[in-house]
Amino acid sequence: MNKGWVLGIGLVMGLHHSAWAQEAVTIEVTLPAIEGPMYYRPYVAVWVENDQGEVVKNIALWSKEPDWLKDMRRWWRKTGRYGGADIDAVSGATRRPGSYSLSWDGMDAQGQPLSPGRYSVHVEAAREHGSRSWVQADIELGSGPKKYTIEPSEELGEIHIMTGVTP
Amino acid sequence: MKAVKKLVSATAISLVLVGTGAQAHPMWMLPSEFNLSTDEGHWITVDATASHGVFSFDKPISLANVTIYRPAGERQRMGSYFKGERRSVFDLQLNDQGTYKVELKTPERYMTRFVVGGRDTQRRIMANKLEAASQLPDEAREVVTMAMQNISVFYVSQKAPTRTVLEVTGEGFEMDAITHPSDIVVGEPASFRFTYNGEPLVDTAIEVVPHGTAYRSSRQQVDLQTDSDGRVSFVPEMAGPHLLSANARFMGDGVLADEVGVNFLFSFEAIPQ
Repeated sequence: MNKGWVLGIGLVMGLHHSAWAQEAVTIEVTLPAIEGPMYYRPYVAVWVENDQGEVVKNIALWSKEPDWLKDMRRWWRKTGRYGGADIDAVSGATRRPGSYSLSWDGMDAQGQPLSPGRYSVHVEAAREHGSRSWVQADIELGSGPKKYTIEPSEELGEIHIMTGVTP
Repeated sequence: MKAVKKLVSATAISLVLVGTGAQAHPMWMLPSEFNLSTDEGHWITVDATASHGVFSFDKPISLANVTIYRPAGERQRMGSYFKGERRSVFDLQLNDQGTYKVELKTPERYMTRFVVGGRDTQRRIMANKLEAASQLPDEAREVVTMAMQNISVFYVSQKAPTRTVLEVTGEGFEMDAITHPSDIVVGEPASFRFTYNGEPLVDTAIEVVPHGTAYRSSRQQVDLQTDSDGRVSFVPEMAGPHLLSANARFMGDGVLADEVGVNFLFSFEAIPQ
């Protein structure tokens, strides 16, 4: 394929979306401190789905061994098992209890800006000798700054999502 | 497409079958995992038993009729196996990524039943129509030959599911998995189509029961019936292993058998949302 042609398309799309593509999203995830002798850090995945339930972007994956990735049941079924390149790009070690701020530039897994509209942010955590928690929040992209809060669950503390963040 | 002819009186056939004692127990298999995220060759272990319960053990079974298909379709040998007093167990190693099919399929067994004498004494011989022709007494009446088969199947996927092992051949009793077995999710419809020699099995009763019947009052059985295309669709309410079963009775080819009876069991897991 002609490289110039591909670049041209990219530029056109970039220009077309420039009005809102700069709106980033911040996701603040808290892993609660859980007491007990058998505490191992949870496996955590953060991703974004479109209004059809299709994964458009992986934002974070904190894990250790591949064997237990399947325990994040929804993440594994929706995206993990397909092993996309965007997963490698956001993979890291498991984290100790605490608050972590993730920022997402609003681009999809292919690096293209997403159209404005309704999406959902998903956070799933699974812990050995612990539980599995999966939480989500619908968000609007391209309609300016908005704040969303997800209530705490067994394995996850309160989650704060902020759209329309100027990078 | 013409539908497979259903027997007019299914009840009569069932009554006859009860007396035969031939493979009366459904045979199910339950793997330790249905979906895996492992990188390297991982072992799973499988329970197999003949039982009228849903994943409850009763009698061990012969594992000689178990076939393991790798994601590309080749066969694979099982690993360690064991036949106990209540169940059989075998292990299998998954070295490939994709969906494996594990099938327990007994050869078709033929039984010819007939009545003789002034008192209509019921007799039967284990023979197909052709074999029976030379074995039947001259005075045999109401001669009916039935082909019987047990099929039990489950699928296990390592990483992304694949569809090669799901392809139908158009031969014998088959389940066409419209929904991939690794994509059966609580709250989402799952669809399957049933055929015999490629033609839809219409109005066949299908039941689906989630595991754990011993620990709840209601069996939570879902009763379904195949439509004119041989399809059923259902929405699982519980996560975990389920047993889908079909006790199909339909007309045979008329050459080897007049009637066909297939006892089909499909073990799958409904994945939480």
